[in-house]
Amino acid sequence: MDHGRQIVGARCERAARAGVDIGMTIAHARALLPRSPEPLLEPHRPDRDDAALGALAAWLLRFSPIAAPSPPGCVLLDIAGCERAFRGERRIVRLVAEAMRRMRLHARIGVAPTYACARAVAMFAPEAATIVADGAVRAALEHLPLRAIDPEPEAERALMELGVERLGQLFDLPRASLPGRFGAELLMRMDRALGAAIETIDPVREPDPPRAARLFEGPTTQTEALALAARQALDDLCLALRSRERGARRIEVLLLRIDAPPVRFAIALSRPARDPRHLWTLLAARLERVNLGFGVEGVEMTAAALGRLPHEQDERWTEHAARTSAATTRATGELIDTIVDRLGAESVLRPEPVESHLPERAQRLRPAMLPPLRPAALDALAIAHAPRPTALLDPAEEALVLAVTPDGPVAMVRWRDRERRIATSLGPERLAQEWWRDERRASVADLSTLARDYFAVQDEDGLWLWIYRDGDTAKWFVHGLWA
Amino acid sequence: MPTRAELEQLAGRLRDLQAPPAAHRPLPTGWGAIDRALTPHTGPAGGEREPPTGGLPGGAIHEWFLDLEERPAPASAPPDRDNWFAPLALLTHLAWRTIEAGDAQDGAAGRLVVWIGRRCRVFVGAMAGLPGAAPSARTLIARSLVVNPPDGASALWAIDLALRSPAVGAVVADARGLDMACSRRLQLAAEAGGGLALLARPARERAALSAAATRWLVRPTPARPGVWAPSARWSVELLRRKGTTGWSGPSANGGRRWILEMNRAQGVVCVPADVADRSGEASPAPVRVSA
Repeated sequence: MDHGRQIVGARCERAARAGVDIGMTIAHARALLPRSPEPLLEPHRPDRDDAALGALAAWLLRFSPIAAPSPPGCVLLDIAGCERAFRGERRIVRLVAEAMRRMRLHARIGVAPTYACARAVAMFAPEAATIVADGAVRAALEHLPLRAIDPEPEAERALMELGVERLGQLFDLPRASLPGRFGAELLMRMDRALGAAIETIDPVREPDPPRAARLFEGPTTQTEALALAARQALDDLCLALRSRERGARRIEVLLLRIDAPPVRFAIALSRPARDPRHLWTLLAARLERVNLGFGVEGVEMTAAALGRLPHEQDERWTEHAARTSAATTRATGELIDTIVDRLGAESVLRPEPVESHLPERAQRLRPAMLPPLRPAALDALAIAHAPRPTALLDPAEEALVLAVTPDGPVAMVRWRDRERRIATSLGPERLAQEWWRDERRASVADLSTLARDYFAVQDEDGLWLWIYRDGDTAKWFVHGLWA
Repeated sequence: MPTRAELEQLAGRLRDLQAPPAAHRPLPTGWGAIDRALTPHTGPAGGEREPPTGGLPGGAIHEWFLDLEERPAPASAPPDRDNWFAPLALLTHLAWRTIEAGDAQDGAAGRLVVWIGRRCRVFVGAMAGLPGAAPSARTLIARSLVVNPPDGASALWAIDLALRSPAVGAVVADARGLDMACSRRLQLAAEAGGGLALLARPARERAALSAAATRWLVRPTPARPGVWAPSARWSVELLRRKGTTGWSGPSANGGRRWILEMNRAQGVVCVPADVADRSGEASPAPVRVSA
């Protein structure tokens, strides 16, 4: 805002192409832009921009151990030595470009021996991604405008009056005269860009995982003392998690023993949690089984993996309060964790539909410790046009079947040592096997023999069975029934 | 000598104590005749409160026996093969009803159905019978958890834990070999948690003692002739309902039987009386409520 008018602080590419400039009034900008679609206006909040840039720098730590935001709109990464890990500089550039595209950010990338050169090239070079080789720094910088090395405004104005507009012309000026006429700063920036001076950056650091510890004055073999200390450490840890508005997905516990190597164990949680009561039930069971050796000197707990867990209203009267969905989610997580803790991670599963026309493959179970399915994944659930039985037998059981004609209605089924006369017979329905999975496909000349002919038959008592004849062996099997 | 007003006030308080807590609403099964038969009768002076809707009593365990008239396995069969099945079409329908009723209630949205045991799984085929086919099936799958306990003791522990959890609306479990003490413990867990337990047991165990609120015997019956698709039909008999004087066995004349049919258009529905033999006594015989 300037004198009560609203002016443009920043604009996107399309607006820039339409002629909107930084500093012009909003009314002017609106006049330049087309009426539809409506231009999107938001108040300019430089502090939030900086925070977002810091978060982006933290995210980019996966490409390099040193990343620093350089406002406005620039992130510097030190990739010296990272080429081995990523198999080449070009690959790093490609991965970063793709990541930015997936995040829907318009990004330009520059790689150079010095930070200043890389920034200059990224912002002002004609291509979107440029790599400057070791000896080509000066050549790359020559055609860039003066703003590329970010000089002070007075120095820039003075240079423009002299007719110096490109960096190449600046480099051609005699070095000794520069500090006197334009200030020492200009010479320093020039040297940083060319590699004659060192530039340091202020890298962003990932916050340490929350940790809590209790150390004893002497070793102890009493489990009650250990349990008390562990409980206190857990309370501290949960407090730290709450202050960061996070929940733990994995807690690692380290018990320091005297005259013996330390004991480590970890508990994994299906959902981020910071409730000391629930975490204690899982930890206490493990602590009791630990071998204390000659004595334990201390206990240390770290929340190794975190997940977002927003604050929620405290439920003081749980039997009267309306159960919110957050509480139900938390209770679900606790139920899964408790069962998994006792019966193993493979014992709690979620059904997941699979795209397959064969009913025995139409569904699989995956462990519930993994995050739940997105709703779109459930669209694979296909309710078949032909009816399917309510209970499937796995494996299908062999039966003796009498049919009137080879492809015709079924007359009698002998299954589980009981003969059943058939009152109604519906079918056949041919289900081709998934030949791309079947091991027999190499030896079978005609793939149609891998199909099964299914019949739905009802016996005199009213029980419906789903039977099939195997195309290959011509044997009959009962695959399911309507229970 | 207490006055009449004081006695009436005392009677009102006793009635309130006897009424089930609000969390344990009955679950409407969607089968009209069965819901009407399961409506608890209120006393003659209980006219101020609205009559409770009928359905399976909430906060309780219910046992379901599917009788396929299996003979015991011959000696040549593998020793661990079990000849019994659970009435999955009906149990899936009831599980879905639990979710639907829970979502309609304010404080119970988002609850889960937990399926415990190898025989009690949620199958795509069983879900074709849900009204509103694919979206209901998707909701049921999204809210289901399957637990695979390695033995009977851990199965009981898992059922108990699930019933006590506030996130669980219904538990469908494989409860072979449940004895009286265990079933009483499960009944207490169901009352504490407010959920519904649907326990499937082999038909040969229906003579065993149990603390279940209702016990049902399911038998397949012949469908009406001339069908083009398998529309399975079952005759469902209420063997026992806790809190009522019993009829003396499944074959007695006072037994309650209904016919349920599963077809693709409507799901599992209750077939009206004129088709079947015994179901559909329009006015149930008066039942004495005993403790």
